[in-house]
Amino acid sequence: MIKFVIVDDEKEYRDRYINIINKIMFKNDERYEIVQFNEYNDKLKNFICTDTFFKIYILDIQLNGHESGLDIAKEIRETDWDSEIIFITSHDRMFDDVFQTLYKVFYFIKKFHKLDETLTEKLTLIINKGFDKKKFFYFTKSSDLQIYLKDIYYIYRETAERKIVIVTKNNKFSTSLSITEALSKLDDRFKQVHRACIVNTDYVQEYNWSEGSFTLSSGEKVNLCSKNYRTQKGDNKNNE
Amino acid sequence: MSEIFNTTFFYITLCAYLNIYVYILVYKKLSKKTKFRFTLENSFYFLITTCLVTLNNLNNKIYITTPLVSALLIFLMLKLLFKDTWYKTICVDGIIILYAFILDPILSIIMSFTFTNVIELNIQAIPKLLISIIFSYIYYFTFYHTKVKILVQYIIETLLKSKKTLIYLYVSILIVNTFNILYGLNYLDYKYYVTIILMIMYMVYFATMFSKEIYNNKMLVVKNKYLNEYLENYEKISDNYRTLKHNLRNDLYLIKCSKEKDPVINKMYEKYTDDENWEGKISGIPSVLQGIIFLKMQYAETKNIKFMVDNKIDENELDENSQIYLDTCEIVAICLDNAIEASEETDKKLISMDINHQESYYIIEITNTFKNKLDIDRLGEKNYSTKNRNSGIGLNYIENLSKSITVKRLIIENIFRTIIKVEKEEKTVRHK
Repeated sequence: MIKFVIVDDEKEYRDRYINIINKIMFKNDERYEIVQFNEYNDKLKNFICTDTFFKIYILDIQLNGHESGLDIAKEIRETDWDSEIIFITSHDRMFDDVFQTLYKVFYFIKKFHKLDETLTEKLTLIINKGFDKKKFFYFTKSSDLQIYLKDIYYIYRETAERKIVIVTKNNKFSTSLSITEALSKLDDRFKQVHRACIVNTDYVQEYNWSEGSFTLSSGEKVNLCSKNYRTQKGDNKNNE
Repeated sequence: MSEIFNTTFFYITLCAYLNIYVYILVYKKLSKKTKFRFTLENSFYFLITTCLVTLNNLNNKIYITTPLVSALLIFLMLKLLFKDTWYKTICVDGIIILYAFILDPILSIIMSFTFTNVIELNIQAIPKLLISIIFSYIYYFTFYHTKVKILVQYIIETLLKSKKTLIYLYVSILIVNTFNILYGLNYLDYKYYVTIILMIMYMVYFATMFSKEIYNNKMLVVKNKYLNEYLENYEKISDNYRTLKHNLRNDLYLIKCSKEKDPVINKMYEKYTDDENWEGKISGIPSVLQGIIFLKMQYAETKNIKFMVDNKIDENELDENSQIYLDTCEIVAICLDNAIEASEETDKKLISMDINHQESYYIIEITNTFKNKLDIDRLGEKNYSTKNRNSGIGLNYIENLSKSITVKRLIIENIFRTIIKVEKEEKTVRHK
């Protein structure tokens, strides 16, 4: 079930968005619901905090009232990093970069330039890419770590420091979990290929069991692959 | 001659040989001289030193000077063998000797409880040799333990940077040595154990003073760094202000003289908003915090970092004279520095700062991009840093600064968010 949340103070635009959504979802089997607001109010605030369905927000930046679309986006990201946000705006490009990256806004659409086509295109993109929002969580007293499972390349154990290292595209995170504990927090796409290594099979280009390594689609070669774990994989990317 | 080179001399020499050999191994490890080998020249120095130390131990009647002379001989030998600078040799040698002085009494106490005729054992050559073998092995073994090695390495690095600390160390060695000489031979005398306790107290005092000294020095360095940055930024701001004033004068004159004012005004507007890397509503922020944020914005601009600020609190709400407010400013400054350093290394250099309030808290959120290896368990730990420099104090310092301020971190892939919650107190709220 997808919930489309429209926040725009102009009814004419809200109706336009609803039409676009209905056209897109007509071709899709997914159940959906459209919720609309003309401004930020307690009802919207409550909805953001309590509703747990996957949501796609379409927010106008300039709204009547004290809170803008940007404030709403920030409030959403206090508790919800999974829902997608599309801004309808005529603001300058400064906000684009900051919000797209730091608040994971999907896109900024210019209100007065190809609004319908762009909104249709972006909503279709969101729906087609799926809703893989599963995350790896790790909490300490003062830090919370959340990584989308789809972003994890592999996890290995660093013997010297006795920590596991989670390798993603841009970063590496060390935690004091064991390999077994880490595996229990992951889903079926992750396989243990070595006593000290778990890999996201979605990113594996090939396994080289004889050499004891696997190669990722990014080109990185990792020498943590053991024949002992081969039979559990049933992989088709064998190379011996 | 025969009196000197008798069996006792041989056994005593063997004791000295073992002890000095262990010292060489330890020095080799601490100074990281992995290529050191016992060449003919090195072996000659080693043997000569061993003989001289033995002769000193046997024939030097002035007890206080015996260990000092031995220490000096060993120091000279290490200098000749490893060819380090004088200062480095003093630092490393000092640690080795001090470690021996700490370990020696502990082993001595164990011995005095194990054997009743300790004084006799001390005179006889073979038992003394056996005891020396055990001592050397224990010394070698404990020194090779990872945690001991790391601690000692850290102390050496600190000594290399601070001559004052080195002096403290050598003074303590002299005091420890004096006590050891005066009472070390008589394990049955209660005064020996009293002096041991005094030594331990002195060591603890030294260690505490030493740690405080390092911590304070690092704090001073951090604070000095901020002062220097503020000075630099102030100069830049002054220059920018002069340029802006000049440009404004020209542009206003242009508008005044233009017949069609609207297009000119639009063009001027675009000119002043184009390529701005920072934007924010900082006017409502209380003055000290505003100043800090403004300076950091300027600094971020020099690094091509986009910095956005959104403020939702009224400056009249806060008491700028309260300790919590000052602590908050300090925390914000450190967190912004970290944010700037982290985002500088990314492709998308972005920082966003939000200042808001709830019923009983003010909340300051600093969100930035980052690209690094992070140890989640060690974030906020003293001396842990993701940068290759002597740092890691900032986060630890702010964690313990005030009970009314909590700092938490949220990391989502390549986004790092620091959430600073400041308790609202009656005193922090200005009475209108």
